[in-house]
Amino acid sequence: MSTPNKILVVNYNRRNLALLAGFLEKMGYSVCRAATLEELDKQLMNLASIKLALIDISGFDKRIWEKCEQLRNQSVPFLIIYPEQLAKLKEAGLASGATDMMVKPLVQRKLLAFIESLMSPDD
Amino acid sequence: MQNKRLRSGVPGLDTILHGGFLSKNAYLIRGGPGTGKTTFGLHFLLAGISEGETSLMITLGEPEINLRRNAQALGFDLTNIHFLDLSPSSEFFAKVESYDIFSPAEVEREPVTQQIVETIQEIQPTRVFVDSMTQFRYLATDAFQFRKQTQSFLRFLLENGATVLFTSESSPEAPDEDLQFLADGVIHLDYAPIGRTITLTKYRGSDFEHGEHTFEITSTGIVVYPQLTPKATPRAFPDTLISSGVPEIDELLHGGLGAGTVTLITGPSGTGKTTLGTAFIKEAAGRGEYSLLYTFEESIEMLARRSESINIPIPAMIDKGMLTVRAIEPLNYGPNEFAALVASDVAEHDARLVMIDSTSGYRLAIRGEETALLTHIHSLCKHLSNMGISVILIHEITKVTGEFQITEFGISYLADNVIFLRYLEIEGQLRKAIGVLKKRHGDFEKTLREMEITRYGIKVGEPLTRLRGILSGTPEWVQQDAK
Repeated sequence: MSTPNKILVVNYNRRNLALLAGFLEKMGYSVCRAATLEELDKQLMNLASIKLALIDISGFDKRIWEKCEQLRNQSVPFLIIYPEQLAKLKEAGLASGATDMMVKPLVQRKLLAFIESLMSPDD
Repeated sequence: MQNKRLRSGVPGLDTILHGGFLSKNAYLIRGGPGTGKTTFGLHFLLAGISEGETSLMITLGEPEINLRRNAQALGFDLTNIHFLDLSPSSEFFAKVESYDIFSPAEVEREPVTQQIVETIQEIQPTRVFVDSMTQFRYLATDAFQFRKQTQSFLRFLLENGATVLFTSESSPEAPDEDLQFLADGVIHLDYAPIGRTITLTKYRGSDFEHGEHTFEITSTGIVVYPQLTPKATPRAFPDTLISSGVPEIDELLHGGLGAGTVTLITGPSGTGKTTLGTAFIKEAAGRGEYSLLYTFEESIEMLARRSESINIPIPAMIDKGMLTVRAIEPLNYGPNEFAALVASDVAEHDARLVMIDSTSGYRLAIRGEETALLTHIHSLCKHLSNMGISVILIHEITKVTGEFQITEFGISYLADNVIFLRYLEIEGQLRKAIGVLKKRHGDFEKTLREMEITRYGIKVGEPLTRLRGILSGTPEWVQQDAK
């Protein structure tokens, strides 16, 4: 079994997805992406290679919580990203077992610090 | 070492800047919408092109194609100006999906910075115009970042040998004080009652012309009219006297008016103020001296015909090249524009006498406060008399008779000489009288004389010594009973 080294980026908005994934790649991380629940399912089949997941919940329905559940069961740390106007979901996010919650727009510096606390680029 | 100066390219602006922008400095042009900031910048870039320099325009708001089109309307040829167009394209709206994962500051700044750095290093411009720096504010996460980024951006440009002009849009919601602190010089463009104004509040490393100057956006670009600030040069006592050509008036003045002095001819409508003024012009022409006459009230034809009928041949003086008459439409001129016109006419013709008919018309041109009138007319007169040019101001007072009055707004203080004309009622008849109220350099006759305008010119009688109560307007004969 290969050591997990990828960051799974989940975002319903493809521009957001490209920006976030592009940023992480530039920082030296390897990234896999999902923009729909179907794509996410496909990525989750290969859960072993995923070290960390960044999930933007905007645009998804409540089935996204099941996916979070799945990550938690596999002990994959994940970060939930939410828009300011959905702050009420913060509790639901924490209940789902998220390692941390971050409100959009993300501050790149803070995001990097969070990722670095869990993995290093060489992983 | 004295820093090299770069011509601004705007007619009149270099006078205010004492020769132009100091090279490798960054200047801020600020003002509201439509104040001409971009046009100023284009002038600056074009001046560089005409000197064989490299000019770069970094546009963040208006797209290049619009700028080129608008510039063409002003007759500007932007062919050789390099453009870095960072304005948002229409695709941005139509195609690119919006994002919210990062703030725009984090997403957009880097590509923008990259493009600027590459362009600067590639073309090494001598002049850079950034329109507008305010846009960078949105690419910074906070005020501190903005200040730091702007500062290092400007430093980057200057270190690469450029002289920079940048604009800012300021509003109460988004003040631009921070940019004013960063700039080496600050130029403010504004609207005021007197027209469009341009003011400098900061100019590191050089002196500049203080005060509120005016400018105009013409069909061929911007023209700046610097406010005249007469230098405090000691004025020599006038050594020559200029004659009116009427012996009795010269007697009243004990020889004439001092050359290079300011004379106010005041009186109610129809007393012959203009005629008296033109008499001095006729005499000056006879001596071979050039005069300038600015008439705010009459057309040139009207003035010419009227003067000819009283033996003051204005058309002949114009034909002989001794006089220029300009009919000024007050609403078309601001005070600084008018002053610029006078200054250029004086220089062109080496004029010795300037007559302004009348201060009421001039006052219309001021379109501002009363105190502004005094300031402007004072600077103009002072400027001319410093150059040894005599000035005649025609001033109409509205009261026909009654209590004596020199002027309605205190301009008599700036006159060296005051000649007054007034109506007298003598034995039931309306007559005119002339007198001198003030003559700074030398003595004058303290009596009034009767004046008449005939087809042979001005006729002035003997001193009216036998009248009493002249200043009341209804004098009485004092010696009649004794006769």
